Amino acid sequence: MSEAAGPQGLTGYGAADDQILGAMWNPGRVYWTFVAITALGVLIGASCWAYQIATGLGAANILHPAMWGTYLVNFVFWVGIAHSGTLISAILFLFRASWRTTISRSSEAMTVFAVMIAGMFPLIHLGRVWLVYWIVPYPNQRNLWPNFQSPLVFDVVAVSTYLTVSFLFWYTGLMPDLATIRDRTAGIKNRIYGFFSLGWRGSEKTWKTYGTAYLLFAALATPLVISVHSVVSWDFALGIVPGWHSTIFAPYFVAGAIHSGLAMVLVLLIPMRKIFRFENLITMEVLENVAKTIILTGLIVGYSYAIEHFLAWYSGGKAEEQQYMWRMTGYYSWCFWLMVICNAVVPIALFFKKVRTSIPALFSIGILVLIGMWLERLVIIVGSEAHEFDPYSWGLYKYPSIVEWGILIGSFSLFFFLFLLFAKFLPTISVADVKEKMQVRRDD
Amino acid sequence: MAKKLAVVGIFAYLNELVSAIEDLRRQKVSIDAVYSPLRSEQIREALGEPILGPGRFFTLTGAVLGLLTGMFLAWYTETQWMFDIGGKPAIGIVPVVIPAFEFFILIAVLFTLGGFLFLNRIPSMRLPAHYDKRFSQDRFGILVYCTEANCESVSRILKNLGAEEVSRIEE
Repeated sequence: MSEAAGPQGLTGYGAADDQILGAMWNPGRVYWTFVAITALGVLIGASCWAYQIATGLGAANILHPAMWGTYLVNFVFWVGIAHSGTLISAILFLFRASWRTTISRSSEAMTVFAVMIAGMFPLIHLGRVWLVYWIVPYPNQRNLWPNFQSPLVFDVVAVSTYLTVSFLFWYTGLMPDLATIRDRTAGIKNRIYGFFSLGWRGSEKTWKTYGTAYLLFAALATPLVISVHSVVSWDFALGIVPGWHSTIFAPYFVAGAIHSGLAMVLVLLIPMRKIFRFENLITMEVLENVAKTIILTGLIVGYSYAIEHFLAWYSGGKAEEQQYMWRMTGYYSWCFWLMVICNAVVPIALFFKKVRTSIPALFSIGILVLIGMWLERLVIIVGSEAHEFDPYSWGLYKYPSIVEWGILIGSFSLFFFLFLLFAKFLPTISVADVKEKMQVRRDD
Repeated sequence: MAKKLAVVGIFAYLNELVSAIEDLRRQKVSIDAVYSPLRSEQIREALGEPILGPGRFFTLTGAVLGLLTGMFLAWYTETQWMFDIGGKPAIGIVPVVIPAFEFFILIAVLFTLGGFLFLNRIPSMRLPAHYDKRFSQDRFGILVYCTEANCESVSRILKNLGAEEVSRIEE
């Protein structure tokens, strides 16, 4: 790691505590404005979902043949967003990429919140949400156990495992910092943080077992992150629908997931470093490294777009060929071309150092990639359902209803709202990791 | 129960702490605990500890149990479904891979966490009497349990090794 990527301008361990933990207690007026806006969005989303539960799924514009609509688009999108957190905290940890130090905690939090929100969408799409327990494997009088040969059940197992593992990974990493807060506070704060720090002492024995556990968590989370979006992709790839039935879906989805997740990291961290004055911790070089990773994932995604169209033509399957031709020229073609531009063309600009080191450019590219990745899910899910084998079964999912828009806004608002709460009550940068990177020594 | 006597030396710098540990070990003074606000390879090396702790055996146990649980659950539910299709095995192997893999990860992680908590005897809501709040912030500490006879000499050694504070504690 070059010096510039690490924490800058900290004179001692106490200074790291003061800066990172100090930001929690006095986040400022801009912070509260964002909290109010996102809370309003959450209320809108909750009201729309409540309305849908009261009136039935007809409140959404989901009709045959595009039965999955934007709810499943949102599900796949949010699972994707979750991926960069584990990439940064686990995969980059195993590769000893130390520029991850100051962004790993926020990315892990992002993962946990994104998976939680993703997990809500199958429930929203279920309509009768109170019957969700039918998916739980318990014996019942009809012997209708969940079918573990179904990709949908794979998905439930994979996403719930991912949520549990991501949460535990995040929480374990938080323990030393919770103890620091415990030891710096008094009264009720001391009790609450003391409870959640589980009596952390920071002895050599504790650090050693912590190091072993963290390493093993990272080693287990790495194949998990690859598996989760692969399993999500098999929801589609194991079906026979043209546009879904493809062997490249697993790596294609994983690359896309990391692409969107890294874009979300930029979108979250750029305002956060400004609001909390973390410019010396989340340095320009850290953001530049995120941007360089986006170039890689953007190129993989661009290659996947090209190769799946090539294969549709080369394989000679008429339905497949038609599907991909329709994708480029049909009703959703504007979504397709916008998706290509946002995900594969725009990130090429990051090859230029001037763009990579410009905060407005990075933020804008982050937003564009997020839009592009949401559209990618729309093109794949809705576009393929709408144009299956036989012309008599073709149909369109024209527009999301107000309820669907409200739930979409609600999901984004909930994500940002949870992140803001996290930034208020927990350290957004791992203090213990920052201290580890600091070289504070007495030179006699 | 008789109270235990201990001496705690507090250090401001990691390099001072590391050389103090090395000197104490050279002088055959047994170190009972070293406290640090950060994870440090230098401390581990000075103490002569191995890189990985015994936590990995918990992970291995969890991984094996998880794998078996996932396989059992998938195969058992398949037999309960009674959804036989011509040309397909009644109990498949390929579809079992995914539940087995996911349970393998899930239970391995739960056991890893359980092992971490067990090995550190946490959750524990009470901190030991010798614990100094600065250990989680900006100070390092060395704890040495002593007897009435050698407490003085241990305190002197710690002071000579650069401890900015040395305190004697009964617990």
